[in-house]
Amino acid sequence: MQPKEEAKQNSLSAVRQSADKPARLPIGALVCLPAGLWLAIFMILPLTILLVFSFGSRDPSGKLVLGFTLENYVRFFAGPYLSSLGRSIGLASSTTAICLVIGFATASWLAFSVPKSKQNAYLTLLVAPLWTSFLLRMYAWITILRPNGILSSTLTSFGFDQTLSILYTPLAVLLGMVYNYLPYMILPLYAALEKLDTRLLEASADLGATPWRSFAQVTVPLTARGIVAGVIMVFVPALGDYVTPDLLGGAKTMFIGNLIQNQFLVVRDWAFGSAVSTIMIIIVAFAVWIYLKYGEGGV
Amino acid sequence: MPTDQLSRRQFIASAITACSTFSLAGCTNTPMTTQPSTQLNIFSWADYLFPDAIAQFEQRYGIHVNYDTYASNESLLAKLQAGASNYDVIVPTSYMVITLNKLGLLSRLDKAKLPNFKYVLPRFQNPTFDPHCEHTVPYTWGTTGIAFNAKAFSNDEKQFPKDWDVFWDKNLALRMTLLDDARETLGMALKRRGHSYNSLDKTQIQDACNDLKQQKPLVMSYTSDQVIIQLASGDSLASLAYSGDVYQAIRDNKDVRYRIPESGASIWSDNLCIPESAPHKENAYKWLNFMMEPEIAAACANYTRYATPNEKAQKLIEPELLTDKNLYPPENILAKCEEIGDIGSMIFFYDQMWTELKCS
Repeated sequence: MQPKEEAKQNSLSAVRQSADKPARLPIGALVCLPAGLWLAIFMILPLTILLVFSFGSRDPSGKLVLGFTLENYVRFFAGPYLSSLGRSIGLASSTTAICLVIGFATASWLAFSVPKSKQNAYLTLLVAPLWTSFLLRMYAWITILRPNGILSSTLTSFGFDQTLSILYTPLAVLLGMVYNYLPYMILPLYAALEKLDTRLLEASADLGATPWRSFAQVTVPLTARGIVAGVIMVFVPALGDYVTPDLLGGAKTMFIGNLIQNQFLVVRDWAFGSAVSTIMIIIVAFAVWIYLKYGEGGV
Repeated sequence: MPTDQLSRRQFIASAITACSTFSLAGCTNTPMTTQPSTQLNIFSWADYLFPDAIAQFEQRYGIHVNYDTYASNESLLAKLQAGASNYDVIVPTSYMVITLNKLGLLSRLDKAKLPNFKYVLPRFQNPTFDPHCEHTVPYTWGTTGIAFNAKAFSNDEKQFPKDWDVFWDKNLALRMTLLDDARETLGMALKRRGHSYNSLDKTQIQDACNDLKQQKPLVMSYTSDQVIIQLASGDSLASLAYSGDVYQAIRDNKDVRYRIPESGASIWSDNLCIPESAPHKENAYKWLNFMMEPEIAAACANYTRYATPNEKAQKLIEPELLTDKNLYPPENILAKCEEIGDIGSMIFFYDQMWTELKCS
């Protein structure tokens, strides 16, 4: 009887085990399903379509014809279009750099100099402009920077007799970009700095480090995650921005975002537009990967 | 071809656009129902109606109007070709009518439903771009010429710009604007060289593009939708502009003038059309007929400043507009003007040149 019972128990536990294992798997899969579907529908599918389109061409009526040609890619690298990519990378980099400097200063001030009780109010003020439409904020800048605008007429009333015309210059574009993306830099930096243990800075000062050295060897490494997050959150959207250059730059120069927008919404060359988009996605993905890997010493 | 300016009207238009986006999204898959629909989706240029027009129409017919806007014919085409099928009324310019027709995107109009068509001047009833107005109803017409600020030319009639060369005048550096429109701006440069707006000669187009590249450092901005405010505020001292836009700017700034250059300008007409895919065709007919009512057409012409092809409406238009030789040009000036036409797939070369100019 006993061996039988043992065998029965064994088989029971085996059943229980086998029942346990598959039961865990479907739940895991089910939990992942919404995210997986989301990814499939909103990321993999569009990217596949983009990739397929980018090897196509267009017929004389402007309709997309599927096929396999590398012509669109060759055209991008051979033509005058490459300059737009260079300009975009330059603009996005300088926007990110300026945002990082101003952002770091602002976030440090917020985290260390503003009393805790007031920090939330200041943060709210920081994001308050984001509650209005992006276009409205751009038009506000146009009003300020116009040749006969607020800035120019104020300066004239102080005795400057030259009409100051910042609007429609690269400077105006940079200014608009920094203004737009600054909150996205400050917020992650603030989150990182707020958690920073200031006693470490005191210790570093006690050990004879200059403020600069403390900053470089204590603050920066400890807030690296915030810096990485801020840089990516500013650089990536800045690279593809096409509205700011159009409105504040007078549509005089084509950035990569304008080039893509133009192919889809004006010129009707979806194949070429898809190819440029694909190139841009690869560049951004590569840049982010490099940055995450080496940029901050492997955070 | 008017465009938006930053004003209360524009703000309201944007708000309407934003709202209509939602309502359009809502009716994407609505099947054709037998009961009369109470919606009408218009896709047109911004600021192209007198402010009360939509309210009057809504009140009279109990139809809710969504007004969505575009800034160039090319973007209209791109949207329609990409499959936007919610629009009941569109307002393409003459050359775009040809392109849309070739692609079979316009529906043939049933004139029995448009009794007010009889008010259209006979010379507009059989345009070359759409014989016998089979798919279109003329809405407005105008020219694209030189707008300038008289003060920049010492208020001296003799110094006023006479021809396209004004856009190569270094004294106006960074205070001039050109249209963000490949056909109009490249066409202007072609015309300046004595060629046609519809040139099919690649060398001619390339030369025109090179002229523009060389002129580019003088340009303040390429824009089609900021022209009115830039002229009215005095920011722009010379602009390539649509006639009606300039006269809208003159309302706010008396120093602004308009002139059709000696070598000729482009002349165009904007037309009301019903896309083949329109979901509310009956309502679209009501709108077309409404817009041809003399009182309504006159109110639009008085507000937008564009010339009307409506014979009876012309009697209701402010007299100083009718007698203005730049708005309603006499035959000898009209003869120098040229209509922008359909150039088939040559448009791709224009686009390419335009992109190169912008990338330079």
